[in-house]
Amino acid sequence: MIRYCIQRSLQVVPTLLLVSFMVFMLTHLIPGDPVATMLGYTAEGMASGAYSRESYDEMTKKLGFDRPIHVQYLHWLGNVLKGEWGDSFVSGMKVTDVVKARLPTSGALALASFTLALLISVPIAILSATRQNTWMDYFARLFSLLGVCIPSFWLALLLILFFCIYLGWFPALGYVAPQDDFVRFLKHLTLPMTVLAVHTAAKVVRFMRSDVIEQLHQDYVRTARSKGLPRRWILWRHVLKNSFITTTTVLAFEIGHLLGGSTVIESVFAWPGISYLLLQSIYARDYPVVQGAVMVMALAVITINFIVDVVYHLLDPRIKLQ
Amino acid sequence: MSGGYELRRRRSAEIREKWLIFSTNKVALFGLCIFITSILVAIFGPLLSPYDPYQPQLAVRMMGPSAQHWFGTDQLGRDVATRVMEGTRTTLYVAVGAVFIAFTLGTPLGALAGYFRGKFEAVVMRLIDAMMAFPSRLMAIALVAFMGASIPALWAAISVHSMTRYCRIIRGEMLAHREKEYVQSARISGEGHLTIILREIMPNCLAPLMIQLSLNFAEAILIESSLSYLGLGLSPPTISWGLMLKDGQRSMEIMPWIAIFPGAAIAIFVLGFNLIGDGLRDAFDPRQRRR
Repeated sequence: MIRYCIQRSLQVVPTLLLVSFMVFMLTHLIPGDPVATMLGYTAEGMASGAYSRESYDEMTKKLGFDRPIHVQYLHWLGNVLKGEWGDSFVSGMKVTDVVKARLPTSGALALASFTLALLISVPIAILSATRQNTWMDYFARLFSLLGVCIPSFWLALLLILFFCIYLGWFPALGYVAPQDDFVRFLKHLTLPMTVLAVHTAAKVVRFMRSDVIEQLHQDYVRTARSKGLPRRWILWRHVLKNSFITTTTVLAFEIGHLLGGSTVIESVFAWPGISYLLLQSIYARDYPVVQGAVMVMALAVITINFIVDVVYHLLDPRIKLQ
Repeated sequence: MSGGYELRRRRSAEIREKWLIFSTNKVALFGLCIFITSILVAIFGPLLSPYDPYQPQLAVRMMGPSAQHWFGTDQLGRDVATRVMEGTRTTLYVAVGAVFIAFTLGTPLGALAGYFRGKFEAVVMRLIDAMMAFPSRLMAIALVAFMGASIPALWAAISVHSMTRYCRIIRGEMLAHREKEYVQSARISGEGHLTIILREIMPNCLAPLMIQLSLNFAEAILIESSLSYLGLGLSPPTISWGLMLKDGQRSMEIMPWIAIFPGAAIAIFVLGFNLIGDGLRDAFDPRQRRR
């Protein structure tokens, strides 16, 4: 097990390096002169609409653009590993501090959505797979289809229209810290959590239902039935354990999506998470914070994938690294 | 020569069989109808409408759905139904471009990586893994943030993540097929590598590619509308469903129809492509049919 973890960790290193290189290269995608663009968003540039030659040279040196690209990357990577991710153009604060402040709110939303999605999807998938072609199965298939087709931001707007504007049950926007008022925190959390959970649950139902049905047709299930084992025993002790291996892949992908891809939902509900920070920084052209937020979200996804692979190995020790 | 003729005859028979399975799947046919209707709406819809989707008409602003304006009018008096139909063109234009780029970049890369293997495959797959480490929307947002909002940037943003899927699928198929007897006999008979890839192996890889194409269209539409909603995609005066939803959100309380109809259009479009993808999967994979 430890050997597997070490080997898997070594596999992550090249991926991490490539991801970091892609994040580094984002700045070089800026059309025109990125140095001039960045100067335009500094205090001097915004105040006077122009900048001096000295400021231009200083910014060029600060960004390392006077050096070859591979040297720039290694210098940038060294700073990232030391925890020096630069300063925000807007607030002047360290990027690490700005990003760290938003992580708990994103984490709370991701965890709550994921938990709700599991609570919804697992029972629906199992009932649908074991009661095929009944109303439960039709409902599950319709739910899984509509859940992936309906855009999440449209669902969010519809929920706001119905539950906030018409019924007035929940607030439409904003955030209250749980330590300040836990009940209001839950009220603010409910709608964004529901939107994300519905989307995640729809995908999980789709895959898990399909997988459970496939497992139910396997020879070992036929053997277990012919031995006289109760149906529920077969389902809970054998079938679900095997189908969870595939479902884990989907769940891992969805956690990554919740952590790194909930930008639209955080924007609709003005939920101050890291995805909303990314968006606000994009609007403000605060490129160091954009790079930092993207890097953190990508790292979160890579970490989740690593944990999932370890869980795979625990569920089925036959699974080996490629 | 007769061997080649026999192969082509067998492939035609297989295609006819798959089409028969697909055409008996009512749900998949419904998806196909949605797709064809969308194409027709995109081509003819704005031409048939009596209203100009860009021209404000302040006399009829903020009117609800009626016989004259089926989807109501917006805050500038523009007919929402005509704008939704015009938005179909924009959406198709962006989706087709993005899917084309993803397909043309990802498929050859995956084919070469899977066929030749070795260091080239190792480098390509590490690169693909790194790109897949980013959630698709995150990568799209990051790219558009730095490149600036434009249609080419949208194409790049949507296609970058999608091409990884084509690459992985084709690589997997290449690995499965490259050691088969028909490929070995093609090598022995002196066929070049490119000929083997294009004439022998690729026709057997069409099934997963077609499924991925239909699902990719659905994803492209969702990403484009998300980016436009966030203000990172298309900008006015271009009409996009995402932009309409963004505008509609501000006045949802008094004009809820602006938040409903463009979103419904996105959902219906995406539903159509997903149903086609499911139908193709059922037709090509017999194991899927009993589910």
